[in-house]
Amino acid sequence: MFASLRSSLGRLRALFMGRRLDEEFDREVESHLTLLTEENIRHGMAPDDARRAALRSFGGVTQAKEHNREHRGLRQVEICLQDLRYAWRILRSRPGFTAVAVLTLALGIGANTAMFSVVNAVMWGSLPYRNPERIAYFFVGDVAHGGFDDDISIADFADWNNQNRVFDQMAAFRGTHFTLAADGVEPERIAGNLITTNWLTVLGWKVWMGRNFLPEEEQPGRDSVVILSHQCWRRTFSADPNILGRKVTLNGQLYAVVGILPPGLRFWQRDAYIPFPLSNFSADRATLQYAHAVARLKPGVSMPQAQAEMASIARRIELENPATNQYRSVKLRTLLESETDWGPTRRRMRQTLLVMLGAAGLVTLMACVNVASLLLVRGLKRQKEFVMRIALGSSRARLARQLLTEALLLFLCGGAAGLALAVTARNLMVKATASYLDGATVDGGTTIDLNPRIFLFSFAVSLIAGALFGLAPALQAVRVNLNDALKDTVKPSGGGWRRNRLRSSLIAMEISLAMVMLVGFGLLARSFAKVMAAPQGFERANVLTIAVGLNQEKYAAPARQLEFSRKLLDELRQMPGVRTAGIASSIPLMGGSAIPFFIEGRDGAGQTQATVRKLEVSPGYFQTFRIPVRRGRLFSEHDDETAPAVALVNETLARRYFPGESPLGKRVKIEDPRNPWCEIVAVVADAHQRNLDEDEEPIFYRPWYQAPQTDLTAVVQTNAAADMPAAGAALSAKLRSLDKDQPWERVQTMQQVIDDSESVVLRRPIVLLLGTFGTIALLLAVVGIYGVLSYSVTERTHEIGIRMALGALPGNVVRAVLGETLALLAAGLSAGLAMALALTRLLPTGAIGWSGAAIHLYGVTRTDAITYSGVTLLLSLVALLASYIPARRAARIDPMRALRYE
Amino acid sequence: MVGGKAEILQGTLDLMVLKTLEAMGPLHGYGIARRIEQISEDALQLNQGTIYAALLRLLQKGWIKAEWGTSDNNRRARFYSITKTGRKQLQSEAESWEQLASLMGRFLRMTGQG
Repeated sequence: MFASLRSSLGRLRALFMGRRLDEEFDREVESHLTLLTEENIRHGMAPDDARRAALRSFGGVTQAKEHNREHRGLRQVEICLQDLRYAWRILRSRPGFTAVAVLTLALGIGANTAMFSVVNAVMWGSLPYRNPERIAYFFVGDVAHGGFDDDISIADFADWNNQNRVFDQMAAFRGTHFTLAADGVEPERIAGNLITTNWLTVLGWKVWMGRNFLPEEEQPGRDSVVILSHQCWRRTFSADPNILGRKVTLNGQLYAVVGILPPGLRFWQRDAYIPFPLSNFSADRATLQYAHAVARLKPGVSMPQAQAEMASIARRIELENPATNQYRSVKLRTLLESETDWGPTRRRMRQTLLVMLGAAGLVTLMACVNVASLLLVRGLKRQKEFVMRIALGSSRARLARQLLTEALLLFLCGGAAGLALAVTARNLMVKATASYLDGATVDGGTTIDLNPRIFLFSFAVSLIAGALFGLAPALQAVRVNLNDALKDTVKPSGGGWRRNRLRSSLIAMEISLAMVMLVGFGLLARSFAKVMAAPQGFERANVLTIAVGLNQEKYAAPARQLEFSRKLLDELRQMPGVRTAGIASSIPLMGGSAIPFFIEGRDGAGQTQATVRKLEVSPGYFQTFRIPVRRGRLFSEHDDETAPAVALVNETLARRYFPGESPLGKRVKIEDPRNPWCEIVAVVADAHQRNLDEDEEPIFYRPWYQAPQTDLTAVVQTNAAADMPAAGAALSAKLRSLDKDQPWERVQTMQQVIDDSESVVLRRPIVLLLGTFGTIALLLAVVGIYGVLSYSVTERTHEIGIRMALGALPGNVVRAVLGETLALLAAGLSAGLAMALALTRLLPTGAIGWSGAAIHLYGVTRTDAITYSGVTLLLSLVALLASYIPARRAARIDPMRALRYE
Repeated sequence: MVGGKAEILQGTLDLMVLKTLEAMGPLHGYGIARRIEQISEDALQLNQGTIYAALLRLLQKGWIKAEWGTSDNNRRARFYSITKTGRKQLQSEAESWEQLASLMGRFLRMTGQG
């Protein structure tokens, strides 16, 4: 054991001290020979004879040295190092070739690494929690039948907390919005969380400055304390060093800042955290509070054990409270799981990113193919060197190994450059994919971490690619026929197409890969264009919008909400340049709550399967968005709290729930079966309420004055585009004049709302990225085609010279070269067609439903003729352009010089 | 086998070197070679260079160690000496050699009647 270790150490040492050990052994042999010679002289020999005799009895001096050299160290590793040194010299001696190859690989591997870093951040981003796999996130509902959500009832939470023996701590939180104001700070609307005082402890977070909440701060009356995110502290309070203890108001109530979270840590992008006084909230079990529960497992308890315990506790609660808790079980997921499989949009985002990683892989593949064909050409140019080495006794395997080492070194250099490129382009990538990084990660982190996984990834990609794409050129290069090659004084000539089969197939492959990439880009770009051009059902020209959140305490009474909205509407209508104005609970593309829907005479007491989206809208809303009324009458000022309840429905609702009959005069109700019936007075045209590329949904409109809200959006349409800036400024000023405590809100044009809508935000970066990849692919194809053809022309100079001497015209020569291109094109395009048809199956088609879809085809089929013919045309054009220069060079060959050409 | 000199048996040279070092104390490569030739009374045909292959093997096994020193006639030379593990190894190798030698001896003395 120790002996073998010593031997290995000795060998390892020998590896790094080769020259010293050589010298040492030389000295030893020399001293041996000297001693032997002296002995011989003592025996009476002449000095010269004595030396000769000494050499004779020593035997082969060189053999002894060679034996020593070979056996003292790690021969294989030494050969490798020697190969590497040689490869490095070769690469440096050809800076042009090396630069082109490294640059190509840098593009290919860089694109892949950049894409991978996004995927890595989104899919395996490290969660900023201590042992996130030991944090349970609670889902509640009819678990057995798959219906469950993360909203909990506070009474249930209290029982879980008291009865379980599996959790260290259990915390509850609830999302909310605040109007944040303070001395010297403009009121601002921010997202926040109510948290139980142990919440940070459960997540494993520590405050960065100040202190965590104290347990007693959960008591009503002592809960006027707030912890802010680092971002909020920097942005809103300009990183005020005296922030601790500073008084701020949240929704008009005074709070003292007690802590700041560490930089980068925000839970679901929320900025302010205040205590969650559970006792203030309804203890009624029936009410789910939009609150969520997290808990940390006790040491030694596993998630399945906790799941079993919670299921039995939930079962016990269910038996004791059959009226409220029937079918209400508990399902635990780790915080990580709850994030990764949450919601169709997130799932689709991940799927999209994986497809994009595949697309980046295509670029990498193309870069590798390009470099492989460069290596092939280089191999042919260096044939003389190889022949010489083989003739001098180098084995072919040894030579192939040397060439492979060169290729690997080249690919590793390319990989390193690619990594550097990806790192430099990181900010660009963050900007391009911000919607993905924001939406798909747990804490809405908008950065890409440089973690070891990314380095490992680019290293592995370059190594594997180097081995795969270096091998063929290496093997091809050593397949020289020694006899022929040594005799050959004339350049090889003729049969360019067949002789370079490997090179030509590489180029055909390149064309096919470019085709796949461009078809993918074409289909998604056309989908995006179709989404943008799709009938939206609402007017966007000259429409301004502003979202307003009224202070929930101040405007708790519906009367106050009504008073405010009536005044606001009056003001808006009188603004100069304004054609129409309206108020609504939501506007097109901004969604709205989905709620149960009952039809009189059809649905029993409280039983319905129907779900509709509901909106509260004031008079003027439909006129502003120019949503036409199909039948009946629009809401008027008289549809108020004193008038009979009325409603409007869109065409989809009418079609779905009143097929073949008129909904006018029918009585319906929403939300709760105890609500009063209201009469449908009109059907309006469909307008996209959520995403442009989603199917129309049933929408139910109620008059604003019969159901006012604290969250509202005001909309106006100006007479002309020129009126918009003035109207926008007046809009927010009017709001503040009605209530000086209102925060400034951003005025958005309807065009901006469209640009910020989910389908646009998700689709645009994908189209941009694919466009970039497609451009790189096109570039690589051009370089590849150009490289191969121009080498082939050089190689065939002699042959072309003969042909021209025999009477071929320049036109014939050009045609011959272009003919080669066309053959490559035909092969590449047909292979590309087959590959594109197979790979576009990854792009979903058909109904999009309820999720942000970025790679979903919209308005085009997978075999879209325009895309395919456009790509074919583009590639043919580009290929012919790339071969034009070599073809012209061929046509200008001077036969006399070509025949002398060696 | 021309000239009546014995070719050295594979693997035996290592053992000879080890034994020489044990008997004589530290020696340089030339000294070891000379000593082996003397002991064999010049019956052994030895390319002195091959001694260094054996020395490298023994060094790598850790049975001998080497250091530079000065020879009797003031020449710089590399001196080899046996290590503790080398001694142990020598003992066990010697035993098995003797066993083998006596076995071979008996075997070759065997007659038809015997």
